[in-house]
Amino acid sequence: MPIITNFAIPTLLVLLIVSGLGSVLYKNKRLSFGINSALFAIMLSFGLYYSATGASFNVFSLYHIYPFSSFAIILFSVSMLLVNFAAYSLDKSYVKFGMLLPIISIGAFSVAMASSLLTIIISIEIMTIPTILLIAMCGKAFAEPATKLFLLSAISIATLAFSIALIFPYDSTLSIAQASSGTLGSQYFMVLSLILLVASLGTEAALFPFDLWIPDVYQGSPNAISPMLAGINKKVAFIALIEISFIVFAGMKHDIVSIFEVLAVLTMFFGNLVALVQKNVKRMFAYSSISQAGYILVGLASVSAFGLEASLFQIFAHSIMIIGAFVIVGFLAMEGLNTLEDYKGLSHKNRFSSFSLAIIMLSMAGIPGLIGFVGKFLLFSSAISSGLIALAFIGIINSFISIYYYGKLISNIYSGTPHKAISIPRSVFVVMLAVVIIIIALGIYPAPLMAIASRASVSLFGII
Amino acid sequence: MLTLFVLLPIIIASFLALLTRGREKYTGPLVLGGSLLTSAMVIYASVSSYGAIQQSKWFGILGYNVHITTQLLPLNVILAVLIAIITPLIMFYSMGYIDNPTERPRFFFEMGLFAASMLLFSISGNFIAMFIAWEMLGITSYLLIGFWYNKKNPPFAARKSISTIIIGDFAMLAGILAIWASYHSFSFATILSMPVEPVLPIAMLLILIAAFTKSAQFPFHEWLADAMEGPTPVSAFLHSSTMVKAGVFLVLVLFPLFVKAGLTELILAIGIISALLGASNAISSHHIKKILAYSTIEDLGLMFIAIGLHAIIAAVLFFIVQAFYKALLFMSAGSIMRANSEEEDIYKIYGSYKRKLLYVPMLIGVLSIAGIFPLSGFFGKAAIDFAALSNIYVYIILAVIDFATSAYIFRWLFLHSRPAPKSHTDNYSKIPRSMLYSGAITSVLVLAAAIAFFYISGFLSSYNYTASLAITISEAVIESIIVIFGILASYYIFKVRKPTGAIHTNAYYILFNSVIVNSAYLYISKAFVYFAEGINLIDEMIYGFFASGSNGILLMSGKLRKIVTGDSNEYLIAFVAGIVLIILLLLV
Repeated sequence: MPIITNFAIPTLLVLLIVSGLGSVLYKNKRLSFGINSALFAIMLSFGLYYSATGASFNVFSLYHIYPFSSFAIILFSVSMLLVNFAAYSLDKSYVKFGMLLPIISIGAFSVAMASSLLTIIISIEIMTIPTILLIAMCGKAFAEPATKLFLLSAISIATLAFSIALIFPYDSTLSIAQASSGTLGSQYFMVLSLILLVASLGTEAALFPFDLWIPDVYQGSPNAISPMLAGINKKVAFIALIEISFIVFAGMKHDIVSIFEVLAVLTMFFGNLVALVQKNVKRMFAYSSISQAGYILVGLASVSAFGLEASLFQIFAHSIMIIGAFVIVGFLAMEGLNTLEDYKGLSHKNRFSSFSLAIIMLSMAGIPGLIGFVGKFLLFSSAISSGLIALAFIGIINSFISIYYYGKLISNIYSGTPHKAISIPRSVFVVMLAVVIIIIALGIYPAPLMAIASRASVSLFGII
Repeated sequence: MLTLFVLLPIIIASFLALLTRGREKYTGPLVLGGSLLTSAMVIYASVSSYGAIQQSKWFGILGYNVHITTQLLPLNVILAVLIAIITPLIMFYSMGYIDNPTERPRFFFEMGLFAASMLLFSISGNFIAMFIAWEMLGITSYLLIGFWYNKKNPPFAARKSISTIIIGDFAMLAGILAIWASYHSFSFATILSMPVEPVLPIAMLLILIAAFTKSAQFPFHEWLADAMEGPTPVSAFLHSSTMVKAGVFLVLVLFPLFVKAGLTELILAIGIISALLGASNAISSHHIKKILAYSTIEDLGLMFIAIGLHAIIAAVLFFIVQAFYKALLFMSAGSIMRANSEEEDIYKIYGSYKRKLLYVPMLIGVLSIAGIFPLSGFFGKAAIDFAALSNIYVYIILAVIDFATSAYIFRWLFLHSRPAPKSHTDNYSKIPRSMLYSGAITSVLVLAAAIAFFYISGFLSSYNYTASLAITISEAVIESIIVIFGILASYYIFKVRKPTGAIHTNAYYILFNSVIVNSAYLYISKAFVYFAEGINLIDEMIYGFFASGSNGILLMSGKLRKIVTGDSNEYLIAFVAGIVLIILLLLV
């Protein structure tokens, strides 16, 4: 058993690299798609197994696997599977995805399992650079989003490195678990380090005011890549933010609460209010994903095991929902539907995609019986249980505002006159079906995901 | 085995039914198969986990755990087995009845879910499971009553039923919350075993209102007659073992609480009023299915009378036998309407004697509902009459109702079995086989249901109800004489005098009082509309306030959007500004 636990994860990561290289050498679209999907599925099963057994062990003093990282592995492997399926038919040549998706996933999985601050920096780089490359490889038209992403991620990494450099002198270690031991109070440099950390990871995690580039890049990116940006890259930043700020800065709970509280309010209002006036559907979803980052912050702001559980639940839920939404929107954009006006009469063109888009949006708006409702319910009740009643109230107001633009799109979809039918490619259909099933199943019976998230959050607070 | 699993086959089958579009001939057999499998599992579960109470955790937050509890106590077993027997029969009947293939997937999907929600209701062991099933019943019955949504009347009927039932839903929710607030439990078993809390009478009154709306008791009874606009299998299902039985069953399960809350007199009074209203409308109605619908209101009234008299065993016995004969009569009515080109006015329907396979089972049903010895209906009614012997007024009312029952059901039989005039065309030979066979099978069950009389007391012995089940010879004779008088009266009026249409006398208007009730509904809703218009005036002022507020938000939203310019330099400035902002925040 110890051999399996020690070598399974490194072996899988090596296999992912091999798969990535192999897809360049052999250029067999179907084969590399199959191998990648299989590897992600194996990763998912390992994540589920580790989470169920509550495994906790070190791998080569590089990775530390415990229920929190098992949760992140589950999250990333499910989203990677969905993105992989979507990319298969949303992009003409799958080869570049076949090469770069495994490498991006290595970065994501490494952030999930990182045991040292250095690992986190390097893993984020491993993930970001192939993403920029992937966007740039899609053609000259995508130079702008690629450049923007490059610029912002460079600054974000630099800031992160600076932030870590500031706390390094205090305890002379880069290990996440040990770095926390020396942090006793709100030292001047510690506060600055925390702020730089929030700024650097907030850039990728779409927190106001570090998120202004998000709509441009999400909208401008190729249709196959925006689901990944919103569903994986953003969540990686969140996982890193949670891990560093809750463990390393555990002694500064007070500061964390006030920063996250203010950022949550600003982010929710910014995302929702700007989404109200958007004409382009893809851009609207970009803003909606900003507002969802604000909801996730509501749970983090309470800095409690229950709040973290709620946030992790919402991170998973939003990852699934936004991937589904961007996949459908991207597929429809390829058919020439871009603005809210274009979506009129969509239900006549394609019943299933309109149904699943409606379900996704109802879930994002927080209609009971769907996963988004459970997430918001947990978030707001966690805020109330830790005394942040004003924050919960503002969150609920924002939910109301968001119903306006989701409802407008749904009413557009289900109005209008009959049109020529559109047929969906099979792999997009699979993604839609999977997303709808997950949204409804976990909306009615959320207990399994809540159990995984709860184990994760308890284990994270156990480290402190 | 987890009892909840019995629901799986029928739910899966109904969802698969949606996928059979294009291959509609498999839809019916698929759902029939699913319901048969469910029935087998119900019967297996009733034997293997008899008496078991099972909890499955649904979700838990901050130490509060919400469970879905199922129980298979004798009462639950009775209702579950009843549903298990009747569901496949109705599905079989529907296979012939729904002859438009494009309607089939939707119909069987809704029917399957309806049956599943009633089954969940029958095995529910706490208020959570019960309320889920209760709401599912409301929604699916709404869909089924309005099944032909592009015809004129069904949407209105469906809306009427859902608006009546929603009153009950709110009452139910309020009652559940009131109980939870003082008992801190949702489980029936726990609540039944706890001492009385002061809130109990109010909570039970709210739950009783909910039961009355579902079971179509006065003053919520009219939706049931309008619900006849739905397809006939739906009526047969709704009136026999599902939906309307939900209210009675709820009162039966929680009976000790109603006794503690002192509500049995109210139950008795409402039962009497509803039974009388049902019987009088059944005598005077012209609609072949509405006669049976009013008869159901009367039957349910009788059950509530028995409950009000503390004669639980008699109520349960009548609960069982009524399910079979009412299902049978609705199936027959559907077949007759099919043969007379869906004619609904009973004065324009002729010749139901022409098809023996239709007529003989129907006759068994008619004799049973009238209360002829030794058919099952006789035992059911006689047991209730016997329980009423202690109270002579109730007994007299019951005698009147018995007389009326035999009169109207034979009127129903005599009218549609008249020989057809030459101008009338009918095609009794073209009734689909499955419609006739399912009726014939049900008639066998009607005959067999008489056995329940001899076993029911033993089956329910664990409940220690004071009133036992008994029928004396003298009482049986009196009952039979009343029934025979009813038949004779009916024979004289409708067979000898041969009326051809409505007899508009003053008595007719008193008997056919559903018009009055409906206009009362209208006045009440109009009063609400006036009230609402008054509120609206106030609301518009508030609205003006909010409208200007939301205009402001939209304006702000437009301004905010301008922050995002697409210029990377500005994004970097915002990045630095953000850091400064947080530093300032922490300094303050």
